[in-house]
Amino acid sequence: MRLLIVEDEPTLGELLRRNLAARGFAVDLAPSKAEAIAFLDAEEYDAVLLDRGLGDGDGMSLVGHIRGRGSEAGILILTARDAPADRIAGLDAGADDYIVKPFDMDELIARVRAVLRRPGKRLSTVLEVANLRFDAAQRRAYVAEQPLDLSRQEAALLDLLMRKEGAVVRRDEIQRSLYNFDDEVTPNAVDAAISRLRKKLRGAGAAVEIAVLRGVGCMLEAKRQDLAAAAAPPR
Amino acid sequence: MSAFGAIGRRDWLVMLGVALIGLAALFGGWWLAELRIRDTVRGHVISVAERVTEAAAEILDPSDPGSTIGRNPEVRAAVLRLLERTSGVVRVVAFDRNRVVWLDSAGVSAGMEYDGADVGEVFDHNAPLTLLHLSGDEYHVLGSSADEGAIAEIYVPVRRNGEVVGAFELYIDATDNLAQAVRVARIAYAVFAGTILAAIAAILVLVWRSLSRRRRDFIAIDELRRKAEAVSEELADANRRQQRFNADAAHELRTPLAILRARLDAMRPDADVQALKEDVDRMIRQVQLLLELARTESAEPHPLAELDLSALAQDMAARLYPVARRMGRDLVVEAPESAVKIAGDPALIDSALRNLIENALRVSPLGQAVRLVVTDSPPRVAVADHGPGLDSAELAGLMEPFRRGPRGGSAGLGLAIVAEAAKRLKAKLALDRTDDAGGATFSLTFPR
Repeated sequence: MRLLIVEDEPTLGELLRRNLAARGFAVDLAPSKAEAIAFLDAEEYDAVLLDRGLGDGDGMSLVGHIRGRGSEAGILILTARDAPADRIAGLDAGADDYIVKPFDMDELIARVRAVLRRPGKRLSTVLEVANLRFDAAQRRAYVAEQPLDLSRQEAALLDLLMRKEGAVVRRDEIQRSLYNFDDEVTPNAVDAAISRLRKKLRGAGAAVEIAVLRGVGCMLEAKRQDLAAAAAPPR
Repeated sequence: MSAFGAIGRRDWLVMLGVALIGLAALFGGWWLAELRIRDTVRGHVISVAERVTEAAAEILDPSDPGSTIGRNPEVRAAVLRLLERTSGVVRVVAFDRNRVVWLDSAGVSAGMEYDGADVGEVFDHNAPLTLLHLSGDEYHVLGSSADEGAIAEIYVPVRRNGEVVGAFELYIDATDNLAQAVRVARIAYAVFAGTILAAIAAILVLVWRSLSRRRRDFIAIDELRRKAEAVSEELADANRRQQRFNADAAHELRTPLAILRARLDAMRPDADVQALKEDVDRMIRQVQLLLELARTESAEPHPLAELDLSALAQDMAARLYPVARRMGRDLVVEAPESAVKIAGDPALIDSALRNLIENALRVSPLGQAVRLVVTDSPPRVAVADHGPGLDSAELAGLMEPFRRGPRGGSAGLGLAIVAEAAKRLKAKLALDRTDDAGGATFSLTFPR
């Protein structure tokens, strides 16, 4: 997967490049807006990590440049500014996510992958979480490479949850996706669909869990092995 | 600005109005005095004429042309002289309906046909008729009346058994009477006009003074307002500088921290690196809270938007649920289906909710749920944990920055942010026990 980092702080840019390269990404580093444009013209990137404050202008103006070329690249704004107004401005400009410095590398990679899993992006056809794989084009799910039999409704729900792995999918969004198959979707139908999918995943031995935030939505996550250790109180 | 200059067009109109009303009163008073003079003279001559007529009618029958007095010129002359001296009657003519029945000094013959519309009117109406002939310019009260004379011409009906049988025409010299009435009227009018003029003067002075005072106050208030605006502008400017400083500080602090964090990510993971990462993450968290507190304290007073507290709480729960799961805690939302309307700044509410929930997650025992409860009337959101709990007396201290609670708040900054946000949202922050087993429940109650 090819990434472009646009960062004018040389040390941070270089460290990011090294860290991402070490995790198997092909990474280019542009220290200025002008060089970023040169890279974008020469290469096709899956995602662009964009610093806002660049020596030769606001990195935000590059969002328009990238979208203007019809690129589907995921755009993640990296910024040291986290005022809510800045955040909203970044997303309004057409960026896919907004990450405030400093950040954890795993968190950054998870956010890049989440952006790329969105429909229409590079990673949108085959979705993977732990031993669960979903081929969005074929509408087929596999647990440890064994096919899992899902109804069309369940497949739609799984698609939605896997694209937003680790984040809560709101009930109304689920209801809208189920609506495509059945005109009469009651709130109960949402619960029923979640419960059926959960049972099937568990039965097939999928190493994922569907956590329910009651009344709000639910979230698909990889099963945690070391829950107790991870959750040690910070005192 | 002088008080004179401060009096505007409208105020001049008010004073002009007062002056005009005064002038109208003066004119009205003069006109009334004139009427009064005429009434006095008329009243006097009618009274004289009626008495003369009554007395004469007893000795003269208008329907009998051969009456003694009428026929004897000497007697007639004596009677006329007597009347002139005692009552100012200078001429007497008696009529029946068509003829003169008694001669007067003018030499009108008795028995002469008389075409008198005035006499006819007296016969028709059975009431005296007075015509007042005044010489001079007639402006008695204001003008000079040294050479003024008044002759009243009066027709008085003569009745027998209630029926008009004739009329007396009398000419009465009322010059003295007129002069006397004018003298009285002049004194009365002088008093009246003096009073009116004094009143107008007093009103004008009072109005003028009140207007100038009002103007002076207005100018003073205007001056205060301008000063207040200048101060407020200065404060806003200081706030803008503070916000710029916050943004710059955020950038300058975060960039080296980001480099530090990335450097640790680049190192081979071992126990020391892991410990360092945790230390750096703690520092990052403190810096973030510090920046958030600074931002909250200098937040512009936003025009308050109408918000749904229930939706805001659900959004925040959805955002923090993954964090809760990573920490091995659970989150439960209890919110009404319908919107809970409040007015506020969504960024401040988010900030307050996030810090309350993060604090609650941190102190909750493993596997325990943090409950987020939204209620309507009054609009309220509560975050309940099952941690060690807090004495509500400690709340004031915990809201101070850098005060670490007994539960081990991250830097004692989370609650300071919540308190600052609550202050700006005009919401009431309260602390209660979650249940009998203890725990802390922080709640924010919003004004309607």
